Parts: sequence; C-alpha cells; structure tokens
Amino acid sequence: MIAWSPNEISRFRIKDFGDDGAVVYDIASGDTHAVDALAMELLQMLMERAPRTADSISADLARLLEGETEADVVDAVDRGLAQLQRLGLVLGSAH
Amino acid sequence: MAARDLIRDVLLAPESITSLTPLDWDLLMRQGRRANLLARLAHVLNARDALDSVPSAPRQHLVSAMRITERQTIAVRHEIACIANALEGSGVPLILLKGAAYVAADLPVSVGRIFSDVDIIVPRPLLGQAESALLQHGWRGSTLSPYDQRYYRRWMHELPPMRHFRRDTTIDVHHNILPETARLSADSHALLDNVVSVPGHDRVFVLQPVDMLLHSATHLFHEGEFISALRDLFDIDGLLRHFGSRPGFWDELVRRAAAVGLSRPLYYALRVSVDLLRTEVPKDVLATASIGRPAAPLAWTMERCFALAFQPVHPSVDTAAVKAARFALYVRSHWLRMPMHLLVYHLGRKALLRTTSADTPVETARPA
Amino acid sequence: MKVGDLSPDALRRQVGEGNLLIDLAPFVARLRCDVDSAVRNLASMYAAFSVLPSDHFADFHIQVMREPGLRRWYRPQARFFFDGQPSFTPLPSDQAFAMIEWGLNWCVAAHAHQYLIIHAAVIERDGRAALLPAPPGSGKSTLCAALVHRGWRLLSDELALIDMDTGQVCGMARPVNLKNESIDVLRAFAPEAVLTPPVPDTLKGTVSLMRPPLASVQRRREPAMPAWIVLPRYTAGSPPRLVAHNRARTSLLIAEQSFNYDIQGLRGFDALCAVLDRCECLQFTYGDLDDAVRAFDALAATH
Repeated sequence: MIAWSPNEISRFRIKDFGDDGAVVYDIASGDTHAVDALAMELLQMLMERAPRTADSISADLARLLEGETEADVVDAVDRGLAQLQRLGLVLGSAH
Repeated sequence: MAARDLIRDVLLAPESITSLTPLDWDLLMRQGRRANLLARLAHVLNARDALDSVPSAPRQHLVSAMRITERQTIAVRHEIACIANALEGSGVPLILLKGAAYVAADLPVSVGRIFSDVDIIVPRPLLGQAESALLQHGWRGSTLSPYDQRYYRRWMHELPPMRHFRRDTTIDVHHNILPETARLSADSHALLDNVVSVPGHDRVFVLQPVDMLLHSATHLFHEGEFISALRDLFDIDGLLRHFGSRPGFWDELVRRAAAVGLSRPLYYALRVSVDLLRTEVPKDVLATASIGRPAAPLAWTMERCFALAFQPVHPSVDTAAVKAARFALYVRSHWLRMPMHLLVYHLGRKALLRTTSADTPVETARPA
Repeated sequence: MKVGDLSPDALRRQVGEGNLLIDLAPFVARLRCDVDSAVRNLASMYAAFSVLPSDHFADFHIQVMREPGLRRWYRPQARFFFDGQPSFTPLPSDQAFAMIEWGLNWCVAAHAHQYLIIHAAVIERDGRAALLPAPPGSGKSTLCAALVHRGWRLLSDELALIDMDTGQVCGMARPVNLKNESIDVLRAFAPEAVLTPPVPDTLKGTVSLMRPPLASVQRRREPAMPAWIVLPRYTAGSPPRLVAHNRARTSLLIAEQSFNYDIQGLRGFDALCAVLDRCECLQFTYGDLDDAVRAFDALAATH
C-alpha cells in the first residue's frame, strides 16, 4: 500500500487554469510542465490532507463526482498520481 | 585603429565608464561578448550601483548577459545534484573542478561566469565505475570519431565528454590534471588526497584552495586555445583575491606547487596575473615563486607570448603579433601533451580535416 | 535621413564599407554587405527606416559578404558574419538578402534577453495585439501579410518581443517572409504589396520578402498589450472556425515556441502566466484569406 504526500511545494510555482488544467514550473530544474485538471484536483486533495492512499482518494473523488463509483475513478486516480509523481509534485512511500 | 583591450581596461577600472563614447560602448560590448566577460562586467558595475548610469542601449546587453549567467548558475547547481545522485552508492566520490567547483563552493569568482560543461575528477582506478554509473542514469557516450575517441582516451586527461539524453547537459570526467605523456609530470594523486567538502553538501567535494589555484593555472598555461584565456585569467585573479587574505595561503601555495611539480605554471599564473590584471601578490611570494621561472631567453619569450595571447579573441585586437603568439602557444600546448612523432600526425590530421571540409564551422575551443 | 533618401551608389558604397547603421527600433544594426542584389533589396524593403550616423552605438554588427576565391565566380556564395565571426554555412549569393533577414532574427533571438521572445507573428488593432505562434509552414506569415493589408498593424511576422515588466509586446515591423505558393496568393490578395524578386531553391523553398506597410513602420515604436493568442492552421477548402484552445496547453506551446523562455527562468514563467491572463486562447482553422479577414474583424469588434 502506497501512501501519497505532496512534495515540498516551495520548489514549484503553479498556475492553475481550472478546467483547462495547470502549468507548473520546477524552480530547481527550470522545467515547465502541463498538468491536467484531474491531477490538479488530486494535488489539492493531498495538500489538504496527507499522507493518503489511492483508495482513500478514489473514495472521496467518487463522492465528489456524484454518480461515479470508486471502481470507476480508481484508474483515473492512478494515472493522475503517476503523472504527479513523474513531475516530482507528490511522493509515494510504501507502508 | 590601434588595438585596444577595452574589456580588460574597464574591468580593471570600472569608474572609467563615465568617459566612454557610444563607439567605445559599442566596442566594449563586442569584446566583452567575445571574451565571455560581459556578464562579469555587468556584475562588477551592478556591485557598485553603476548599472543605471550605463546608457540604455549597452545596458540592455549587460542585463541580457546577466540573465544568461543567472540561469546557468541554477542549471549548474541542479546538474551537480543530479550527478551526486547518479554517483551515490557507486563508490566514486564526486569531486568537482573549475566552474562547477566555484559554484558549489559559492566563490565570488562564480558570479557572472558562463558555464558550459560540468567537470569532475575521478581517480583512475574508479573510472569504469564512474562511467557505468553515469550511463545508468541517462548519460550517453559522445559521437566523436574513432580517432578522436582514441585520442581522448589515450592522451587527454579525460573521458570523451558524455551528454545527458534528457537534460542535454555535458559532463567531462577527468582522471588526471595533465595527460600521461606530459613533459611536465605532476603528482595529481596528491591533489585528490586533500579535497574538501562543500558547505552544506557532505557528498560533494572540491580541491582545497591552493590546489584549485594550481589546477586553474596548469590548465590555463598548458592550453592551446585562447578564446577563454582572458576569462580564465580573471578566474585566477579572482581566486587569488578571495583566498589571498587567508593566513598562510601564499606560503602554502608556493610550497604546494613545488611539492607536486607545478612551480612553472604557478610562476606564469602569478606573473601574468600581476602584469595584465594588476593582481596583488606579495612581492616576496613572487620572488619565491620564481623558482618556477625557466631560463632567461625562454622566460622572456613565453611571457611576451602570453601577454599578447591573452588579449580578447576579437578582430579589434587581432594583430599579426597576437596571431603569431597564439599559434606558438597552440603548438606548444600540443608539444606538452604528446611525443613529437604523434604530434606531427595529430596536427597534420587536424589541418587536413580543416581543408577538406570547407563547410565546417570554425574550430572553437573546448569549453573550459 | 531614411534608407530611401540615399542614392543607389551612396547606399552601395556605405553598406560596402560597413558604415550603414539602420534604426531597427528597439535595436540598431550596423551592416556590411558587398552583394549587389542584397543591397538593392535592402533599399526597397527598408526605404522607410532611418539611417543613423556612424558614430552611433550599434547592437549588432553583421556582415554578409561574398565568399572569396573560386566561389566568387563559380556559383557565387555569400556568408553571414556576426561581429566578424562566420556563422552558418555559406549560401548562394542570390539569397544574401534573405540571409541578412534571417541573420538579424538570429541576432535578436540569441542575444536580446531583456525580452521574452516568442516565435510568433504579432499584429495590432485598436491597441490590442494578437499573437500568432506557429511552427514553420503553418501559414502564419501569409495570414499575417494579408491581415496587415486589411486594417491590422504589423509588429512582426517572426519575433514577438515581450517586455516582462509591463506585459506589452513590441515589434520591429520588418519585412515579412513569404514562401512558395503564398507569394502568389499574397500578390493576388494585395496587389499593392511590394515584394523582392522570389529566390528559388533555398532551404525553405522559394522565398520572397514583403515590404512592411508604411504606417506599420512609422508606428513601430508603439508597443501593444496582447489580447489574443491565435493558433492558425491553414487547410485548403476549410471553412473558417475559431474555437477556444486549452489554456494550459497554449502556455506550454508558447514556452516551446519561445527562443529564450528557458533562459528567463522563473521570471519567464511569471511573464508567460501574465500574458495568458490577458489573452483569449483560440485555434483558427481556415482555407481562404477573405474568411480570415472577416474572422479577425469580428475578433477586433469584441470587448
């Protein structure tokens, strides 16, 4: 089971475009990335409460997305977390 | 127009900018850019709150140059972190040289400096492990011709440069200060025995101050290409100014040079730095360092050569005398590196490449 | 004194000696060139630009010179020099004027980091600017050339210079680069446009440069505030369609189309975000220039 937390946020500058997603600037490396809206939502959730597992996030997200079940969103959550992890925005640690 | 080393003059006397005409500024910007000293000039002026008094048009060039070096400094720090990460657990210590070392050690001489590659030094027996760790973390071998690869591995003191596939940055892995065939054999093992860790990073090392100086001096006074010579001389001047106030530094410098066999390059470094940049070196130190001075006729020739060759590489100061001096030093640098029969072959081959490929860009110096 | 005030002989002599300083606000270029065709094109394309005295500061010293030796007579070539340093491979000397243009673009893009520089066309109307970023071959230059003959002011067809403090965009109103079919298309669309004789077989195909409209040159010192980022896509026969484009993806695209976004670091990111804040992001597909004019007229009419 992996517990996810946001990485040190001062390392990044984020410009949120809402439904269009966001662009993120990594101050240490100078890289710029686009992040989709769903991944941004996940990051928000982790910034409010962390560490959390993907299952716990999926459950909350399903509730927010009225009409979706946890099983529906789990794939999207995994993809979103993978994206955030690749960019160094979140860290996963095994429990 | 008489040859005028304006970039050096202004760096040595920044207050003189008040008397510059628009054409002077025009020449100053061009010489500064060519000598890779524009950002340094910008920082020197900025430090004395004089940037705002620079006329608006040249000021943009200074601002522009500062942006580049500021960004490069961030990039170098990040690159050092990535290299440290790659070498972690490989048993290879991370010892930085030259520009990257100046940044890691937060030296004043790193401000306004242009960087190209990161240079590290690895003890010979650990070269394989170092190359392997780098390959595993995304660096790729270079695309040199087989001849140049052999030249690098056999005669140069480094592996061919490796490029990171994603960040497109280059790392030069040295294993000795000078190539193996050098007529001046130095004990570079001793230099590696006294490395110091960088403030805040116990896994990142640089040469101790006297060794940093000796390394810079040796590199510069064995070089054959002069595009960065004036910049490198300013590095030496900067290091001497920064470390010179430390108690015991000067004595240690001369002693250390003698101990490791680098008295001659140290002599040249001090002599030329004093002559061209008015560096403050205690007189007795200069006298003691003269043990490194060659016999009289050669000494005079070499000193004259260096004085000419250290002008900025720019049409405005490209007299016949300067060209001759540079050519003489170019040949000398290769003479220092390899036996005569190989030297002729290598220089001959390079000349052949130049004439058969009319479209190749002008050969530029290896990045410092 | 304008370039157009010099007699052909005087111009040829002055630029042959390397004493021609042209005011390319916000820059000054000192030019040396010994290729007659290039000097003639210079006279035509830059007639309305000012000449400065030779003791003036110049930002860029450029030379485009005929290659010596055999290359002087056999398939003559010319080479570009930046402050005496040869840059780029030599090209046939009938491309010498194009080399001056491309060379000037390079000088600015590689050295003027006081600006955030985007590879885009920039046009202005009523104080609002439209940025048209696009990779080569997307038709932006043709579209730009057409629009500046139908009510829009030309700031640039290649280099959007963004002032990172004010957010305004500047341009030099220099000649517009046209290729292949677009040369004839533009001639038909705007018969009053002045073009250099097309030069075939360049790396980009057949190339011709279009003189910037006089009003654009006269107003080139006026910056403008960006209001639209429009990604043009030309598809023959396509009806005009203007749709919103994802803003995050537009940001990344602008960054990718920038010559010096990376150098600017965090400052560049902040400036980029500020531009995005001010702009509507749109994708424009079209197959006909008159449709395009109408679509852009409609844009200009919005608030």
